[in-house]
Amino acid sequence: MIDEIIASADDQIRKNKDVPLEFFFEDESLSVANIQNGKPYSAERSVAGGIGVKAIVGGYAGLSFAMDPADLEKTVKRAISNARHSRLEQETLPGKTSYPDVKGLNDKNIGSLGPDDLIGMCADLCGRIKSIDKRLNVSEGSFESSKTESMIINSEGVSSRCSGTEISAGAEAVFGNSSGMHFNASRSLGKFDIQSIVDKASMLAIEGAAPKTIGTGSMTTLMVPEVMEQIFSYTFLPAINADRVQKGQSSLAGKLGDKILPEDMSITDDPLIDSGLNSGPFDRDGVSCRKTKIVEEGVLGTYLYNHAAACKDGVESTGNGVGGYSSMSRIGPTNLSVSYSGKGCQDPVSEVGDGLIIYDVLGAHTANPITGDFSLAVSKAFRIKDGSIAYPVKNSMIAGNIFDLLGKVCLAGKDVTQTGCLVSPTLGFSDQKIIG
Amino acid sequence: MERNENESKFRKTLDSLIEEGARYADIRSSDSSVCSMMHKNGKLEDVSTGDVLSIGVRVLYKGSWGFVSGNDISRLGNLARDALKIARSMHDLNGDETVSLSKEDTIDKDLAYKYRCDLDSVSIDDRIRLMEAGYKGASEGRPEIGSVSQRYQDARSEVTFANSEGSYITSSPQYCCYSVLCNSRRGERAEASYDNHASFLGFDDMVKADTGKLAAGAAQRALDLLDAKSPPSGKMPVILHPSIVGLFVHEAVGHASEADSAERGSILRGMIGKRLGPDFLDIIDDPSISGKHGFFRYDSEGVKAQKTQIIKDGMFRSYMHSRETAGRMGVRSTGNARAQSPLHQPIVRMSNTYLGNGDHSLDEMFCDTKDGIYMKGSKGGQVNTVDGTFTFGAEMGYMIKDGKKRRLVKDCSISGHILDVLKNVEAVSDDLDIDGTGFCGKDGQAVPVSDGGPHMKVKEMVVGGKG
Repeated sequence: MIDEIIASADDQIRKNKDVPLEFFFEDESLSVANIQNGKPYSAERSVAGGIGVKAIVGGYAGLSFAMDPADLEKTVKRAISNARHSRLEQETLPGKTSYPDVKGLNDKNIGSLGPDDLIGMCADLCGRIKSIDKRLNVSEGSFESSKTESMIINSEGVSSRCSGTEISAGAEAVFGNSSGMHFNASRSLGKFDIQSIVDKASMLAIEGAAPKTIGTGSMTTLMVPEVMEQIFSYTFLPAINADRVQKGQSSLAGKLGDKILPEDMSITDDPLIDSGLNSGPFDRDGVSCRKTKIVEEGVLGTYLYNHAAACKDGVESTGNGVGGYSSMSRIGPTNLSVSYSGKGCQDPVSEVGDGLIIYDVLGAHTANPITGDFSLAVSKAFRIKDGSIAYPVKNSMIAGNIFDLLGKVCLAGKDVTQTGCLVSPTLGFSDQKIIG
Repeated sequence: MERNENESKFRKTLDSLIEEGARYADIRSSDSSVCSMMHKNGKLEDVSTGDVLSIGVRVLYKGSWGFVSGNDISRLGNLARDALKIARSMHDLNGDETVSLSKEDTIDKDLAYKYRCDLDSVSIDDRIRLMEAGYKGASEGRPEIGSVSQRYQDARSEVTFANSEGSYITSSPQYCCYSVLCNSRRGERAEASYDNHASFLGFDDMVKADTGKLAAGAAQRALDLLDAKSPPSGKMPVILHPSIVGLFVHEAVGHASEADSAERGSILRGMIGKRLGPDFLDIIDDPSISGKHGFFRYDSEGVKAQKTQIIKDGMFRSYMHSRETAGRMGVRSTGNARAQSPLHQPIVRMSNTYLGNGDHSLDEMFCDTKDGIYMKGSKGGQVNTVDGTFTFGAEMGYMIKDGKKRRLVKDCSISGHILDVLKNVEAVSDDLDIDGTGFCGKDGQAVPVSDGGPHMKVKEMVVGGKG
């Protein structure tokens, strides 16, 4: 089918010489198996995809999409008609370029997994959790394997394809009225760590039983990578999005070259990491992916750009166009690494001595994306005393601002983990206010 | 509307699944034309149109489910066979025989949706005019409004549901959705406010909703917030506006009352017939309210939409059910099985969920509050249904001192425990307003919902402010 799409796209490019056209094709086959109440419950398979066509007319871009590639001529006509109404400025499409060779995107062992295999994995996971403590129940969970193929072709000679596989799983273990949840994803079946889901979900459920209130006060607070990802997604990421900066919706507007974080902190977007969950050779615009130093030793070096935002600022795209076939390219990170060169330690809990470790928060999406202010309920946390976990905590909240928070970073663990787009260790922050 | 041409194909496929051993099967399909637009700072920045086709086949073999979906209806036979194969594999492994679906009426119906202004006859320019009115409403006479972002989407769909028991339901709903986000700026200070309108009442309802007025309201709130400070933190009495009451009812009570959540160990498991709050507390889910965002006439299992009294007179009365959870608990489905699209499996979901009227007035609630906070404007929330913790964000609020509204505060979050808060409800007013319009996410599926209620006063909640 891909060959037919290429031929049909090339034909449309020839027929519409005066209209720059872009074709983005995507196809995903997905297998899922679900766990409910301690056992495999349902399984599913889906194969779906489509093609999006972008047309540029008089310097403005419009988009149309269809699921049936046979509709390409009609889709092109609609994209051209939409471009005539649009005022989305885009003079050009990205030109032909070479793409990096990114390793570890495909694992044929994942590609060949079907629902039957995942059902077996579900049963195995339930068994492993039960073997830790008979009173544990896996209330819900799932395994998912996917194989995606994407292709971009444009009038400027860009023509590239890439494919990738991924496996992910998550489970919620329940112990009385306490629950623990953990999620993991990998591009390689060999490196996929099911046991970490078992151990983490079970530990959080068992240790989280009978929580106590701790009142209001300030203390050194550790946040695990999953919590950092939640906070970053709704505060820091909108702030470095060039489109939001251009529209005055970022507190980092006009701050390029300014020191915005402590000098022992750096943040880099790297789509070229071997087996990175969001690694790839090209972005949604067909721009070659590259490593981007966003914050280096505390200084803001650049925002993240897709092709359209880069054209507007007269800079080169950072290759951060993201999105599917049914929408225009948006700006998003790939694998965003947070590094702290100050105090590192193997065992942050023992290092902190007296404080709090937060494993989960609720309500990150209520943060203010312009100012970076957040106010979150702490849903899974433990009080640390004498260098070890003392007891679970309930009815607490934390409130602050992302830049103030990162300004108080005081230590980093060695447990660098990728959660969604964020690659981060557990980080410690001094003097964090806890409301209870 | 003419009978969907796929009927004989669907019925034949379902019959053959039963012949091959399936206990139950259903097919859902949808064929939509969609249009979406983004309008930023007076300019139309995105116009996208497209066709979306999807089909899903679900098979119950003994006690196990298999589900296959795709966007090629011509492959229906293969999808059905694969779904049965998956269900058999699942059964081989778990040997589950316990699933028994609740008995429901067989429905054979073409649901007529009549639209005065069919989306087919609405031009791109008609749609653009909605945004132009919105931009004018927000920006005119408000120089401190730095940006106005508007989004409009509509969909015209042909939807079919068929099951192996003989139900065959077709409908052709038209959906329109508008949202606006206004950012204000004064020096280093920046704030934002949001509003939206969405319904299945057609394009003329969207015109009536008056995007200019919606956007002007959001812009004014964004300006007001420039003068607001963060609230203090700690425990205090709170009065919640209907927008936040809706959020509480949905996030805290609604999710824990979904039968599948209860089965997985939610805080409301085993609570039927138990007292959860004062006797003036009623919580209801009702998909049949036609102008609201959570409206539907039949759920994704072909069960008729109905009003469900979750809490009545302070007592917990009913979970929300799919046919499977209802079957297990020996009751009828409440018609709450919903799927985002035929590419997703139906699961237990809310629709229009609200707190019923009480008999206090808002003035009385204020008079009875010496020190506290009044919160309004939903910024969303989240809940852990197992341990009962929830949080939600309010766009703005007012500190209350000696029964009077005082200074404006912003970015207020509250958290609490579901059962504690229900017990601590002190008063409910008589000004019901079901105006919360949004999408609820669960198990990776988003479905349209609405929520609301009158005002509600709670004795004490944790407020997480920076002040």
